[in-house]
Amino acid sequence: MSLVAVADIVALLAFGAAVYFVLRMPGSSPAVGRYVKYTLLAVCAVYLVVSISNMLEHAGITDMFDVYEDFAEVLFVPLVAWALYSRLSAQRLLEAQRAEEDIRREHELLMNVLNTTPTGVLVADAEGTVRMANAVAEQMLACTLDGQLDLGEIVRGAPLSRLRTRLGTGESCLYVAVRSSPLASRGEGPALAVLSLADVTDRMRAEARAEEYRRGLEDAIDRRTGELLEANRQLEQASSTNQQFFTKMSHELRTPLNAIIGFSEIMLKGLSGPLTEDQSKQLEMVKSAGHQLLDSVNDVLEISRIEAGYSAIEVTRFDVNARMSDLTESMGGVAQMQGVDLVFEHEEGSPISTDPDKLDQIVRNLISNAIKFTDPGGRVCVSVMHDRDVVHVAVRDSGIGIAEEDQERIFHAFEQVEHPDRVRPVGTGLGLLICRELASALGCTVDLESRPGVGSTFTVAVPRQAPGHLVIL
Amino acid sequence: MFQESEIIDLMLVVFMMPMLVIGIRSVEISGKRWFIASYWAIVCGFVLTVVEGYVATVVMNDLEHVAYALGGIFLAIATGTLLRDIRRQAEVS
Repeated sequence: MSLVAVADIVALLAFGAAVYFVLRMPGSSPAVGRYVKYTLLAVCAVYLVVSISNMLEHAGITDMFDVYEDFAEVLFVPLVAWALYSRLSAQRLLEAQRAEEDIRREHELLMNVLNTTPTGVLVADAEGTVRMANAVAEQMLACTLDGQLDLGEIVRGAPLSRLRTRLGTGESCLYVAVRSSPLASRGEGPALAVLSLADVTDRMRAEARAEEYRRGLEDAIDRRTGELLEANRQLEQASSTNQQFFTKMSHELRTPLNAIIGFSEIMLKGLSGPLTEDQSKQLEMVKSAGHQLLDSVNDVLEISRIEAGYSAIEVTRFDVNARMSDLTESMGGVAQMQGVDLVFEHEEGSPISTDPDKLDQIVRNLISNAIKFTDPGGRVCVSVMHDRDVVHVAVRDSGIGIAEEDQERIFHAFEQVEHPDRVRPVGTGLGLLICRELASALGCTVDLESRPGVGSTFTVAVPRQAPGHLVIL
Repeated sequence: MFQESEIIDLMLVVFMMPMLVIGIRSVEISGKRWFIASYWAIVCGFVLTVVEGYVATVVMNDLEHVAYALGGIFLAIATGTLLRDIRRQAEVS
């Protein structure tokens, strides 16, 4: 067998195989394409015919196919070219399909993402036409009544930072906060904007409840303020009544007592005629009792005034040394009558700011007590010592002293120290209580050091500057 | 000496070569190299058909038939490769 015959047989088998493979290809496969398949089939078939023709010719059977062989060969190159460009077209179509599929998937992904957000998101144009909307936005738009949400106006007004509006009616209505951002326009067609619709119904209802609660509170405050104003008016009225009471009591009690004391003194001086010795003695007793009663009335009125808050404090700057010196001197007569030596000692110091009359009242009470509880021949010393922030005014006596267990009790109302060897002291037992109350009001403290049989020292610590939170009595 | 159809075949090959070369670069298909080899083997067959009329007639004629045989083998391999890949892709998808 010649080489040509072998080659023809091989070519026949090979092109036959190629035809078989092409026939087995699915025409709808995107990897090949329908046109490509049939063009390839044509190419293979052409050379199958050529091979058959060659084989028949060389086998000496017939050469009648030679003419067809020439035509078939002429078709080869155009068929290859057609196959090539069919394949390119199919390939481009495939790429376009893949790109479209990618876009579809991205769109699906975007919509899935948008649908998972609780906020309604939509894209609309200036005519109000919705181009795209997620599920939440669609639900919101579904319950929107005509005129409640003009999307076109919102798009034309973009960017819009916030717009609250109501959608729907009745109990099922929604309150939404609308924001819009313009989308970049390519200059064709109406402008677009992205709108986000946030459901703020719960917040609006909470705000409404808070507003209602606030109004209720305001009403309650107004009501309570009215009650307080009324109570204040009643208190002011009561205060006025109390003030009138104290004024009246002061006048009603003191006037007859002053008359008793005054007329006793006139009679004791013999201005209304001579008195017998017994009469003089009895008049002295009347006068003494009158003074005691006047002191008691003064004490009771003073403590009542303090407790009721009618003793005003007037802070002024003054020289405490000079003031205490004058006070001590004014008490000298009483001390002399008791046979007690009353002295004053002081350190040099700068003026202080407090209520001088109240301080006088405190120290006068202490000096009076010291004289009262010191036997004739004893000594009472008033001293003023200056520290940096505090001035100490001390009243020291050489009297009977106070047992430790009584030292707190004597500051209580109507409490006095009773000594078995002495007559009951004259007075109401309110003096030290008044001292402590006044001292407290001035920001002062009153300390006591005492030993029975040796004497007592009352020390008033007075701040140089009366504190700002003074209790206004 | 030579037939008109053979000259037309050669002219077609020559004139369409640039278009085919450009197109073949862009196309993506399994067994692309075998398709190209098959094409050139057949084109060689065309050339040899013309040449055999002038020089070494017997040898050139033998070579022409061998070239067609090779073209057929390459084309069978190319289409077989393409069919195999199509089936594989179908299984994957």
